[in-house]
Formats: sequence, structure tokens, C-alpha cells
Amino acid sequence: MRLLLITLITLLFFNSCDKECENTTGALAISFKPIYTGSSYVMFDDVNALNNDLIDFSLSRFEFFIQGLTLHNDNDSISLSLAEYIDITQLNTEQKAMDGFTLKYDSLTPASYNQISFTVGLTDDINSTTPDQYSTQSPLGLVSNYWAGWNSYILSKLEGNTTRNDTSTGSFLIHSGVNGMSVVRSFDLPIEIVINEQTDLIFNLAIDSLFYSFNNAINVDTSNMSHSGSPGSEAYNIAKKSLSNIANSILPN
Amino acid sequence: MYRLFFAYVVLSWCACEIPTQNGTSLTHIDYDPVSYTIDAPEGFPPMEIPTDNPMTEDGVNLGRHLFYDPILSRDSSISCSSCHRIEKAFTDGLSKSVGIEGRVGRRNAMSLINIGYSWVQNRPHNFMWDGRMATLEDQALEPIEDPNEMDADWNTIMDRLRNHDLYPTLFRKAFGIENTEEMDKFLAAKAIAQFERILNSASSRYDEDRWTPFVYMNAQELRGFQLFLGDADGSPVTKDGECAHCHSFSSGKALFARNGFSNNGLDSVGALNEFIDLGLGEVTGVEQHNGQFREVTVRNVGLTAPYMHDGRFNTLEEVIDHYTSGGHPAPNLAPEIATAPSLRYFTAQEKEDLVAFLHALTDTSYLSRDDWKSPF
Repeated sequence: MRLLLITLITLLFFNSCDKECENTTGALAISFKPIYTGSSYVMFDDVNALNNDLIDFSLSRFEFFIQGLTLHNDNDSISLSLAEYIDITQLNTEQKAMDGFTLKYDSLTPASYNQISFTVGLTDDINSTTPDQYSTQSPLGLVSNYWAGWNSYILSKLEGNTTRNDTSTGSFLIHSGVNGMSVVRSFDLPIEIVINEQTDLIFNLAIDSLFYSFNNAINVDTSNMSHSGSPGSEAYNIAKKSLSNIANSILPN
Repeated sequence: MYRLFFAYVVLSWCACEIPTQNGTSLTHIDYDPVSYTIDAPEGFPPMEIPTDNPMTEDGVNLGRHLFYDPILSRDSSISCSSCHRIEKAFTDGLSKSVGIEGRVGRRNAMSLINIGYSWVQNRPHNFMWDGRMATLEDQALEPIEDPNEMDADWNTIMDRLRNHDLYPTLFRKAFGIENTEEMDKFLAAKAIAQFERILNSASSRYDEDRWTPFVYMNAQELRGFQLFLGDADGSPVTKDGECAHCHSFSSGKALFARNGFSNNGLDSVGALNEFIDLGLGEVTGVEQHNGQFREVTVRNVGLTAPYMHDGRFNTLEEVIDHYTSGGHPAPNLAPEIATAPSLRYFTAQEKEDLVAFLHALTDTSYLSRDDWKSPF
């Protein structure tokens, strides 16, 4: 009898462990890698400008919100997060630039997806909230990402330095904010979430697109400061163009 | 069997009274922790607390004793409160803090009011001018062994505390330890951090005016606020001090501090390795971080002179003159200053208005808080 009991308990123990310990989920890593004219861009590095106004420029801060990261297939969609803050500023070495800024999502149900979508910036409903409503674990919980004057989060920050043809130097700061600026991006990509594996998804951030987009160019020498402004104003238009360019700079690797 | 049981009871009883090889038992002292609820000031959210250091009444009490007790310094001449004086919003009024034997430290003492709100979870650089501490608990460990501050060593200090009439009881009540040997520097630091987390106040005239608009701040202060904030929605201004970039806030989280790092143009350097004090760069090893220091709160800035990490400016007027000059050139000069279109064109009146607003952020209501004062 005792032997039977011990055997039963042992069986139950191992059986329960099998069920509890078995991992039935997969992971997804989404990386954003800055590149300039096809090569990795290391923050703070001077690179040749692509227009005639400047000799070179460097980025000292490049950060932006994305919201509503979602995977889709024909039958379903899963939300990965409410909001994320893509902090390219910290990619200040060659290795970090090549690795990119990575978001990781564990415990995803294995499935096949064929599209990923997100908003660059924040939608108006989220932008109407305030940092006190979130934990500091969320980028929405930080006052450093908020601009009180506009009752808005700072949706993107682009800052850097310039050297002109006459070798004089300058700086630029373009912060976007206020409602109505966010841009939705979606990409049709095969994304397989596999048990016990990490799926890597890589997006490039084409730095040249930030300033030299056709019909959307920003001259950071002559328009070197903007933190939004009244809709329709020059500052507002530059800020909106900036966020739009950031959204368009995101391309699957 | 009865003899053995009797011997066990006697030994257990004795353990409460006599020193053992492993210190002195404290189990005869009641341990009945009562959770401490931090009252968030109006306009602030509930404070986030590290899960490994929950707030208790006795934890705060122990921290308060340690904060004000010079026993923590090598020669028992100074305490935490020597550099963090309550009447100066927990600064010391000196350019650089002075430690034991008159030793001058490297930097200016930072205010502790609302300091618990500077903690951002999972961020490595939350405290000190150079951001070298992630938590208040980590920070509290350092001054005791800094040769320019208390110049002690924790082993000596803990021996003092273990053999003190009061502290074994306070540690027992705060953390439930059973023996004096369990008293260690990490518990001491946790207690000090707990006390620091209660130092919250936001009852300046600015705050009162936010609760009941246009009553408490006068016209000059309101003009200064507009210059501080710049291009506020619906209130276009011709001048913008760009102050709120680094001293940022929101309606429900009025910290007036971005708590990031920047080079605010204090020193003129041609190359990033020329800074005398590397600031954040000393911590991260990233050259672009050289000369960058914490963007601190301007709450109570009227009480915390002198200003900057090295206390180089004695008055707020000097500070405003510095910023309106555009700062000194450096490869990593903050673009908020370098690109500011109107900063260099502030009139004398506008500068006075800005200073007036900064004084409206002064809050002395906490001076009546007996539970913040020395228990000795």
C-alpha cells in the first residue's frame, strides 16, 4: 500500500511539472536600426549632408513614441503594447547601432501573422492623458516626455549639430507634439511566432529620410528650432513634417 | 526528555538577555510593522516604492534617527542633515558641501524635497548630479565612506549602531531582525531612503494658484510663468525662456524636473574631453555625456542657493543672466539653449519676471512638519 501511494504521488508530481513547466509560447524581438545612406548610423557621428547648405550634421537625440503595436493575420490580431518609446539616442557605438534599439515580447501564443501595424506618435485619445496616470515603467509615465505648454506628450525629438559650408556650426531641435500629428504604419510581413523560439523582426530607420524626403525636406540650418505651435504655423508644419518623416523612415530590413 | 525541554526553555530565555557569539538577540522586542502611507502632495501621483523596501512607520522612524545622527560620520561631527538642512529645502547654502574636518566636497548638495519622485523604475541614472545612483537606497550608502563627507567605514559604523542603547531596538522594530548581527548597512540605507521618501511637499503659491487660479500669483509672477513655459497652447508669446524643456512638468505630476542630463553651457570647451568635471560622462564613459549634469527641479529654488552642480551662481538673477547669454560654447551644448530664438533678447523686466515666478515656487509649509525634524 505504501509503495503504491509513493508511486502515485511521484507520478502526480512529475505529471504536474510537465504541464506547468512546458513552455507553449514564443517570443518576438523588434529592432529599430538607424542607417544613413545605407550604412549604420552611430549617434553623435558627423555625416555628410545631402544638400548644398551644410557640410555635415550629427544627431544628438533621436527618440519617438510608437503606439498600438499589433500583429495581424486573416482571423485575429494581438496587441503587443500600449505605447513604446524608441530611444535611438542610446545607440552611441558601432555595435549598439548595428544591434539597434530592441523591443522584446515574451509569452506570445504561437501563430502565423502576416502584418504588423503601429502608430508613430500617439493617437489623440492617449495624448489627452497625462504622466501621473501611468507607472514610470511606461514612457507615458515620465514628465520628461511631456510638454505642459501644449498639454501634450512630446511625440518625437530630433536634435543635433550642423556644420555649414563656411565651417560655422549650429544646432537644431525639432520636437513634435499636439494632437493630429500621429501617423499609422503597417507592413505586410510574414511573422511566425514559434514555441520556445525568438522571432526577430528588424526595421531600418533611414536617417536621410528625416531631412531629405522628396516634398517633405527639412532644412535644419534655416529651420533649426520647432516644438510644434499653433496648427498652421511654420513651427507646427515643421514638427508635423518631422514626425511624418520619422514614420516614413521606418522600413523593414 | 523533561530535562532537555527545561534546558531548551532556559537557553531560549537567556538568549534574549545575554550577548551570544552571534550578537545579541532582539526577539524580546515587539515587531509589529505598520505600513506607512505617503501623502502625495496635491498635483502629484502616488509615489512608486521599490518592492524590496516597503514603507513602515518604524522604518521611517529609524531612517529619521539615522539621518539626523552624527554617529554615521567617522568623528561623529556631521550627519546627513549637516548638508541637507530643513530650512534650506534640505540643501546647505554652500557652493560645495563640507564634510568632516572642513573637507570640501566635489559638488553642491541637492535638495531632498520630493526626491522620491525622481526614481524611475529600471533606469540606472536617477540620483546625484552625475546620475551615478539608481536608487535612494544605493545613494544612502555612499556619503558615509566618501572621504570628503563622513569618511567612515560601514563596518565601524555598524559596530557603533549595534552597541548603541537605542539603535538595536529601532532596527528590530523597523525590519524584524532577530539579532544585532543582522543589523547591516543595507538596512540602514533602506531606513534612510524610507525617511527621504516622506519629504514631499507642494504648497507654493504656484500650486495654490493652480488649485484656485489667478488668486495667489501676482501679475509679475504670471508673466514670469508665461516666459518659463513659452509657447503655451492658446497663449502665444513673443518670448520663450525654453525653461520647461529641462524643468518639465504636467498637471498631475508637477515635478519641474526632466531628471535627464544635459550640458547647460556652464563651461567653454573646444572638445568633449576638456571638461574639468565630466559629470554623467564620468559614470557612463560616453564622451558625449561629458559635462552633462542632472536637470534638477526648480521647486524651492529660492531656498537652495547657490546654484549649479558646483554652486557657481549665488543668485537666481545670475542664473537667468547665464541662460539669457546663450551659455558657453561646447560641442554638446544643450540644443534647448543653443537654438533658443528669443532667449538672448530678454529685457531686464522679463528677467525680473522670470525670477519672480521662480520665487513663487517656494514652499515653506513643510517647516511645520515635526515628523521631518530631528528626533534628538
